[in-house]
Amino acid sequence: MSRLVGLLLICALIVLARFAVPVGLAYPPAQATMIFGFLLLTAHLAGDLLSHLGLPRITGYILAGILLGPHALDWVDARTVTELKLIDDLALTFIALAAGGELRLSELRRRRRCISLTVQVQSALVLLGVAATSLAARSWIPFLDGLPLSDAVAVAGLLGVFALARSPSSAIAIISEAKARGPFTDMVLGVTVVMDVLVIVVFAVAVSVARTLVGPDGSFDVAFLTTVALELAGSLAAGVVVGWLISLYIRRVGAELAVFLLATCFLVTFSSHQFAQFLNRFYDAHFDLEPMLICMVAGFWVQNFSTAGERLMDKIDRSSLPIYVVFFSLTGAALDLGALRDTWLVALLLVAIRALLIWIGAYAGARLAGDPPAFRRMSGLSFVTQAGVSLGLAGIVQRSFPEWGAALATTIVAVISLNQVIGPAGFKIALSVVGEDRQATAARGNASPEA
Amino acid sequence: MVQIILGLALLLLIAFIGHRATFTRLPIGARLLYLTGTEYILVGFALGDELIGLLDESTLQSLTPLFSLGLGMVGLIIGIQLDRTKIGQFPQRYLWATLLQALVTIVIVFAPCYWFLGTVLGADDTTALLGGLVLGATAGCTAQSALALLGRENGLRRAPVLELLQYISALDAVFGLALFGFALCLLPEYAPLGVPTARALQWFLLSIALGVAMGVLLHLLTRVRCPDEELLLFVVGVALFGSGLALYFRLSPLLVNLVVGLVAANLPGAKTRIFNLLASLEKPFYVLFLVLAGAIWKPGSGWALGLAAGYLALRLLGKLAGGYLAAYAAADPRPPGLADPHPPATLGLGLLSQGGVVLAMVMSYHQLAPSKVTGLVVTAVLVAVILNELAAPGMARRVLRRAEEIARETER
Repeated sequence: MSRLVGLLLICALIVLARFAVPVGLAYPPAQATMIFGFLLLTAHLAGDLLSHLGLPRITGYILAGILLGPHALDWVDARTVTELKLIDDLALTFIALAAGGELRLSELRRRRRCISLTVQVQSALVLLGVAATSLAARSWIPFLDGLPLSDAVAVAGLLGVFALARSPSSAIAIISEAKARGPFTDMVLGVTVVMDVLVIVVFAVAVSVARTLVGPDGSFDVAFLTTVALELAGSLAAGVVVGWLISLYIRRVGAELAVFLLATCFLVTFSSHQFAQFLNRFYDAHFDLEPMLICMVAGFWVQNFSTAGERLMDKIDRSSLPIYVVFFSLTGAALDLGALRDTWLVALLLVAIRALLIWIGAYAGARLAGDPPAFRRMSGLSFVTQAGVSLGLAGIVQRSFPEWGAALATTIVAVISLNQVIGPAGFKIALSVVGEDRQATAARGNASPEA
Repeated sequence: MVQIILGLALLLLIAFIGHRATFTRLPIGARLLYLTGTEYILVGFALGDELIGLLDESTLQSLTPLFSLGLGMVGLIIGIQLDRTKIGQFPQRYLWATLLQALVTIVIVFAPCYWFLGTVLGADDTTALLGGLVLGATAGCTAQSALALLGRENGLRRAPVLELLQYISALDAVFGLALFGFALCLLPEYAPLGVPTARALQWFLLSIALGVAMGVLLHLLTRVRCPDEELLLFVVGVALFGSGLALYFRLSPLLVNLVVGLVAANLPGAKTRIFNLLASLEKPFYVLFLVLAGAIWKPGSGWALGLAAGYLALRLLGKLAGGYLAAYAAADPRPPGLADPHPPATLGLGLLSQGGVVLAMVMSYHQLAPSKVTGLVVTAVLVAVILNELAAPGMARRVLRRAEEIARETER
């Protein structure tokens, strides 16, 4: 009850601030700070409310972002969302660090067979299945209808690739919220991270093939493929260096670790952008290091190749809640609902097909790996959420294929928006059913002394 | 790329130096300088536009929420210490002594500085008044670090003069911050209630009202026991929201959050947990805030050094005069034999350390009212903080020695 009164007080204060100050007299840079604090508190209370209904908190954060964002109440306007982009990027890299740190090599080795089979079966099934369905239903999909067959194959292939993308940030947020531990959790996180790296590689191949199909000379774009390979290698190498530096700092200094991690995330984000700009300006080259991947590798390095993993994760765990709230509420506010309004029917179709194929792929993978029935049934529910890297790739498609890239990107953004909202609930249910969430762990803990 | 590597190297270097040298090898004055966080301001300055350029203007604009959060946390940390039951454990004459000491120092510093800024530098009346008030408010504040360190190093237990000095240094920042909050109320160009008279006073009352509302909000959110990570979110969220609202109205985030802390400290509920949480967060947020503050700092012209010299001298004079009166006000009225010894007349010398709150005040001033005068004031105060920090332990030791609480032979 007191939290509800608190929520009303927060809303009253923001309304007072926004409507009581004459236009132009407020201190402009304060808007972002005020909205940031407002979003942090309201989104968390919304998440708290939804958690009582059995839904994941991050769904509440996202829904709060959508409701307060530019497409609904507009209390969090588009300009403020843009102004908070750096904070959003910082939060994402911090979450990536946490995701990498959660991956324990010993657990992954134990689940290697299942992870590998799930990745293989799902990749093949989802990529080919979504592409084939899109091609078959092309007369119903506005931007495919009327395209020459070669172009339609290129677009369908890219849709298939996008269907592979996952959201490690959402996965780690749910795992953290549910305090989940166990073989199923390790498998889901492992598959999610591997798929997110894999999708970059497959995307590079798909874009090169698509350029061959739609280009006038029909030559294969090797340069693009090489660039992506170099970007990946560069990000991995940078991640190792950053991980080594973090572990060195923890071992030798250790003081003000939170500030150090924040500064590291900032430097990784900032230097990746600066490096890309530098190469572009002086060498006319496009070379983007991926800050999220760098931080994920760094977290993985610290956890598995140093003695500082526990301290890193302890610090991250203690300060992660505000970061998740900020990140996912801003994600909600930034979701392009306009795109969803324009393409909702196609988006729904693609979401349904993708979810079905993921479920079949995950079931088959788990069965081949000899996992228990509950794992087989539930693992498909854990891979629906999409975000992060796929949005960046959608932008590349838009720039690379001016004829139909914009329409394809709009549809992809709409699909991602839907998956971002519905996906977390699926994963939470799966964790609960397989018995790896907080309640199940606690119940096991209580039962073990009797046993 | 060179900028980035330099920036990273600088951060790492400071961290290593801080860890290796702070509490081990440096003399007490230099250690205190480190405790105030002045070095982080210098790191921020080096990373900013003036030197390396890593934290350029657009980046800093994007990081405004973090900077404002830092300001809010500083206010909150001071406010949460104002628990009336804890303050009530000391004699009321201590409170009067604190008020007297702060007011005398503020007046002695304010009047000449106001004159200097308006007449010598030719600043307009509002700018000069604001600058003068900020200098006065910062002069009134005393940091506790020098006294705490001195007490610890000399193993002092029953030491009434040290206790009085610690009491004054814990509370006089409140008067300084209140005056600072009032000074910023001169900035908005319209009256919040539509009545043109006493505009600044209306804004000041609005600052207090905003702080009370945010304090009640913090109480509502935390009165039911919640996990530590949720408590962290509520505290950070309220500090951020309070700072944002204050800045939105061009008010002081420090004052608003001080009131938030004051309300939370005096309502039942999670006040002890909030206090402990803030104590654990103090350093990281403070470091972050100071680095960002250093990056926005523009040193100003050579006048700054002249102003710094004058400010230092006036503050010393103010502390001596204020301390003299405070010593009388705080004297134990009980008959000789029962009463504690009379505090020495040079009590003010024990109150020279300025500390981090003052840095937060001038950086907040810099954020809301950037001008040539602001640059001078910030530089003057920064120089004064450094010099005061170096001198403070020696001076405080003299006072305690005169009060016979530190004996020459037992001094470590």
